[in-house]
Amino acid sequence: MTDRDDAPVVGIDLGTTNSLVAHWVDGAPQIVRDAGGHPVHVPSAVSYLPDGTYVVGQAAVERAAMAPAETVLSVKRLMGQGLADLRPEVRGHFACELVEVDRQRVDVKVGEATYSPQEVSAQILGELKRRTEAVLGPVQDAVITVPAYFDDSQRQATRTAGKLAGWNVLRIINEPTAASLAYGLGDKHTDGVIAVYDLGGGTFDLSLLRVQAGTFRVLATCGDTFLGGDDVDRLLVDVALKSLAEKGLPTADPRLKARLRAAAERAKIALSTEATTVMRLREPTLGVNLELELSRADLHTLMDPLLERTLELCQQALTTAELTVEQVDELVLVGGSTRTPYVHERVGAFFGRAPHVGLDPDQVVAQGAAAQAGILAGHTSDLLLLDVIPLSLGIETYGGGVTKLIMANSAIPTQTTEEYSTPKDNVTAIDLHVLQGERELVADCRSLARFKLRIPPMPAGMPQVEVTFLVDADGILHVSALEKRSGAEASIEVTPVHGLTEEEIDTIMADSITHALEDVRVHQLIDLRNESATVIRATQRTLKAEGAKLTPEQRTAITEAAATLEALCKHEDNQAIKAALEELNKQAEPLAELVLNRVAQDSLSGKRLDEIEVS
Amino acid sequence: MIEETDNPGDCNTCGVQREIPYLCEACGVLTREPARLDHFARMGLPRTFNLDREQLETAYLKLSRLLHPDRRVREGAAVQTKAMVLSARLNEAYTTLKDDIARAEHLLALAGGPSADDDKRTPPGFLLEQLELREAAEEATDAAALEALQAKVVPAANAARARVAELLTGSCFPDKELCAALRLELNALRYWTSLTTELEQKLAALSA
Repeated sequence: MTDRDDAPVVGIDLGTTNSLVAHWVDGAPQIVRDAGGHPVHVPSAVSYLPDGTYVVGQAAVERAAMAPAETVLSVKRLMGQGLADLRPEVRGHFACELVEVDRQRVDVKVGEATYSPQEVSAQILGELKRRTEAVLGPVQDAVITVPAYFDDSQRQATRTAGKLAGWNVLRIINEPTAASLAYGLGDKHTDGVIAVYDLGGGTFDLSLLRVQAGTFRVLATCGDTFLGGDDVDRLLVDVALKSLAEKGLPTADPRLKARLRAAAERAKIALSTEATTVMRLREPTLGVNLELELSRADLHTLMDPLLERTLELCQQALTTAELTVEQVDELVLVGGSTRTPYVHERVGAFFGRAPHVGLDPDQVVAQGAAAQAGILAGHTSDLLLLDVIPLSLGIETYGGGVTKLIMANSAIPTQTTEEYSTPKDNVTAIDLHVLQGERELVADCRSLARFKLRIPPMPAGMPQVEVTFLVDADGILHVSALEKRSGAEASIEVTPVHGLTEEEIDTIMADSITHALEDVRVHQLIDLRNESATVIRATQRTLKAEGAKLTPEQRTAITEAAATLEALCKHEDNQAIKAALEELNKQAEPLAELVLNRVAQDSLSGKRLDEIEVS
Repeated sequence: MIEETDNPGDCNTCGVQREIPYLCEACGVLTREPARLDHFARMGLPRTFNLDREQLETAYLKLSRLLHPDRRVREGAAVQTKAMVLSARLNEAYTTLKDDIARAEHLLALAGGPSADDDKRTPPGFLLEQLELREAAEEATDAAALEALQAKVVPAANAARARVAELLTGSCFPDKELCAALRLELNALRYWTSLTTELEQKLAALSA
């Protein structure tokens, strides 16, 4: 551990529409900013070019209007899902072709190439990594957030995406939980119950937490992975399409749909401040010239069913946590869709209090994830997050039923023990099928894993196989079994039933890792060269102004170190440049001290040589 | 580190008297777990049905802070694994003790009483009554009918709960006769609880 104490750790908010990175620094989370001071923020979009390369982020968003079928937006909606899991409107959201691989994986097809959602997400995470490393230098460790209601296969898919992008994923945590961590850190007197209402582009979550002296305990979490602000945009698009259809105009063109979506989003934002707005779209090639007047009341009518559904889930979470609305001390709103004033109004009315403002709803999730990264890297011991398992785990019984083993909202790590026997003589294996979900039937739950317990042959009913199901702090299930009569540990075969296979992961890794390594090295080289040039310039300038006060030996040492560094910068040996840069900084220390003594200002203490302006 | 001793009493590392059999609360060192530790002892709580809820919460939070694997990231993989297992067992203990029925079942099991699988009996006439109530619940289509049923079922469930509490208040180490009586009440209570939940769900579905 010790050699990595100072290595940066980050939190990543991998959003449906936007992704953001924060890092843990000096005991607090901070959004990673580039040299220009702008947050490292990447729209969650990837566009595939005909030459086989791809662009990520803003460039991909811009390309979406021109080449919708080659651009993947909102890939998060595909993570860990089968085609049957996707509602028609979600499927309709994708202008690119979707190909089902298995019940829990849908790939996107662009031209002749197909990409798994894990790969597409990895391309976004890879871009975040490159841009983060350009600022912080090499970074490995990351906590990535997911909606609280993501099931195991969606979490695994996210973990895999992180791994493919070269991150060491410390943990997958829930977005609202992360938000509450950031919120609790921002304000030291927050003991009490916090409700985090998280309405993003494509998902809704509500989490209730009890905060007590730095320990954040999740009491309940509820949500819907198919409920979000995008639904409002979609409803607005439908209104516009209906109006076009009435005029006998074409409505099926994917480019038109993409542009309508953008127009709908603009109209929605305009209605936050204006009482009425006009949704406009001109597309002369299709003969479309849309001017649709919308009032704020129209928008509210569209939003009402969606908000009612979220408030039902709020009530459900309160019931689970055995709390009343009055016992909630603070309401925190997270996610871009909560910017709409009407959301503040309705949610505030439900909880009987004004939402806490003062944190940027777009940044809190990444900040909270960075805080958890700080905890997991051992950088802070003041904080602790006690999380829960979002969905129940159960086991298949006779007739396709499911018996719950671990209930949703149980604190993790957790375990439970069950005893099994055999219905017939000399049975040597018991099959167990673990499922995830709240429903009663196998068909309605998600298959998580199948286990085979091997036992010594015995008469029917004689074996007493004690099976322990343990869910660790990462939410991963471990199973162990003991046959009590013989004392034999039952061997367990695990068949993972979803996601990319290990071989697929290895292949993708092998394809991308060489490029990734090269990329990191090149970025590092550019950074090192820039920094070296700055330090050399500053040293030479200061040496000219203040050098007379140094000994001749000191002057020579500085000049030589600068010359060595300058020479090495012409080559590509990162390690050598780094060492020479450190050497120059070391040799220039007496010079820095001189300057500091002369300027004698407290505010300058701790600054590096290249940061000091010499008059 | 993990101390290789199950010596009760003083902590070998810091010398402070230990209250929890597998953990020194003063220095945080984990020790070997005694075999077959019950949920009360695991949480350092008295073995009683009438558990003080606040005492349970306080103990849970305190032990969670000491045992959670995220607090031991600098102590190496072995300690972290041990902490993870202890933390999982703590959560199992907390979940059991928090719930009246689960706590009663645990006390019954500790006394060597029969499990629900061993002894499925219910009081005479009970199943017939349940069958009728269930049919009524299935046939009820409006809120008024469901609420009328609730007015019957909820007090009955509470009364059964009270009888369990009463049986366990006298002794937390029930004898064979008491165990049998307790089993009978707990079996009945299962039916009452599932009926209560079903009525709540039907009412919630109606209002939605």
